[in-house]
Amino acid sequence: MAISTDITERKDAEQSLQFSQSNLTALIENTDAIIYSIDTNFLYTAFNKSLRDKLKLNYDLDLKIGDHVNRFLEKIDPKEARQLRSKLIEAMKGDRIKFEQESTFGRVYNCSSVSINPILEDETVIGLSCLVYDITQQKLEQLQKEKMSTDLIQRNLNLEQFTFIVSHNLRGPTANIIGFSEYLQDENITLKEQKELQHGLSKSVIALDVVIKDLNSILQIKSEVNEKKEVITFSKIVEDTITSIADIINKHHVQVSVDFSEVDKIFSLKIYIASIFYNLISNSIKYCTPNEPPRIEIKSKRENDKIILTFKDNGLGIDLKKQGVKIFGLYNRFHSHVEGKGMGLYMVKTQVESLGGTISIASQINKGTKFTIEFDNQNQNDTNNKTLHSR
Amino acid sequence: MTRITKRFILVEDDELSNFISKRALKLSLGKIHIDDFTIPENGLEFIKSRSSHASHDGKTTIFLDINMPTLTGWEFLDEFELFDQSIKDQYNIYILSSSVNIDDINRAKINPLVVDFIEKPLNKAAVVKLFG
Repeated sequence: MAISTDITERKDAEQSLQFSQSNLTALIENTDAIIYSIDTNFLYTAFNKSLRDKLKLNYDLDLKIGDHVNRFLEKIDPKEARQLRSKLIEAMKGDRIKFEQESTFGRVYNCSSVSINPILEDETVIGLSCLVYDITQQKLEQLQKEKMSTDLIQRNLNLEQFTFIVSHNLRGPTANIIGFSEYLQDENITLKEQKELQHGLSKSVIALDVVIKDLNSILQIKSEVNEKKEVITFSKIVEDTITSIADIINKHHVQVSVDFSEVDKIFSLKIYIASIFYNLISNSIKYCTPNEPPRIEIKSKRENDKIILTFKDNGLGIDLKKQGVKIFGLYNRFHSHVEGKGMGLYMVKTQVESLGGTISIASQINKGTKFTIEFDNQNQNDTNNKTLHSR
Repeated sequence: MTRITKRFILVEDDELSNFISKRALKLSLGKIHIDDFTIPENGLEFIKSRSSHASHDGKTTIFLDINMPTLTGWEFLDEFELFDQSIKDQYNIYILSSSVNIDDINRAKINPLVVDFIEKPLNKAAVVKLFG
């Protein structure tokens, strides 16, 4: 009797073990998450369907129990593989590790959350269990949210700038118009005075018109971004710019030297690139060192996925400690001796940023100025691809 | 009895605005002396160089613009603040600006160096109210 009871108990135990194992297998197999375990020699001891399918689909790899992790790691981007290896090594020391891994397979952006847990037996690590699940969607949504708030902040700043423009640049000529017309209404003015006042009135009206036109071209920037991009040749843009301002170039004996040997083409919006070149070149001439022919050096180079343009001159320069924050601001001017509206650099910055680039300045008084523009060449297409492929 | 000649300094880069201010002052106050500076740095230099002249004829009034290319009105005030008290005592500064921005107006009102904020254009009525 006692024996048979023992068998029943064992049978029950076996049955329940089998039952819980099938449950466990079902759990592991029926998830999109990748689950696998390896031993201390970095050989696979178990893996689920998700990993098997993924490796088959993406790398045509038939993974078997006992394979070395490198069979898979050799196939992926060396940088990602290195990161993963060092995490595995870390976990083998007994640490639980959780991190996010971003990767690009072909053009598809992917982000996974990876947790690696040591498997312990008698307080010794005998292997690792790994759980990898896809968080691409959440990541993209998060990126989109971040982009939205950056856009909103930028828009707010623009609005603030418009308040300033209204206060100072539209109100300025308007106040003058009020002033002149008040005097013109006075019956006791002489003919000579009348002429003088009319002249002032007309000048103020023209000044007002200029500001209105400026506002229009600034607002236009926002709508033009969606226009068609094309392949643009830097050397051709420089040539066109020089031709368009040939008079000034000759008058000031301007020397323009270019080096586009590394990159001479960019896929972008032509009117913007042309405007950026025009504004930076004419700025260098406008603020040149007196009695010294302006020298302008324009270079392009490729760094990682970026196209970098530099514009360097031997002009007056600017005290960045004093004026640094304002340099790209609208209607900010830094020299009284030449006519300037304070629009040029604002337009350049807005256009560079609309194209997804950045601009920075290095300058010293009497030592010249250098503008550096970076265009993220990949970025323009990538953002679209990320969203496209993940949906 | 000799009438004291009132003295004024305009610090403003817009010449049209200066023309209007000068006319308003002259029409309302008659014989006065006006120095105008379209470059604010030159205005500061002038004030500094005149420091030895002890003032016998009352305080000089400065009309100061805010938005100027090389030095804003606020920066002008920062520089002015560094002058000797004996110099500062010789001047009354008014901000004369086209700004309708409440921030600018309050910033002028709270500045201890500024007597008041005056909205452009400066006209006879405003001058009479100030000095009449």
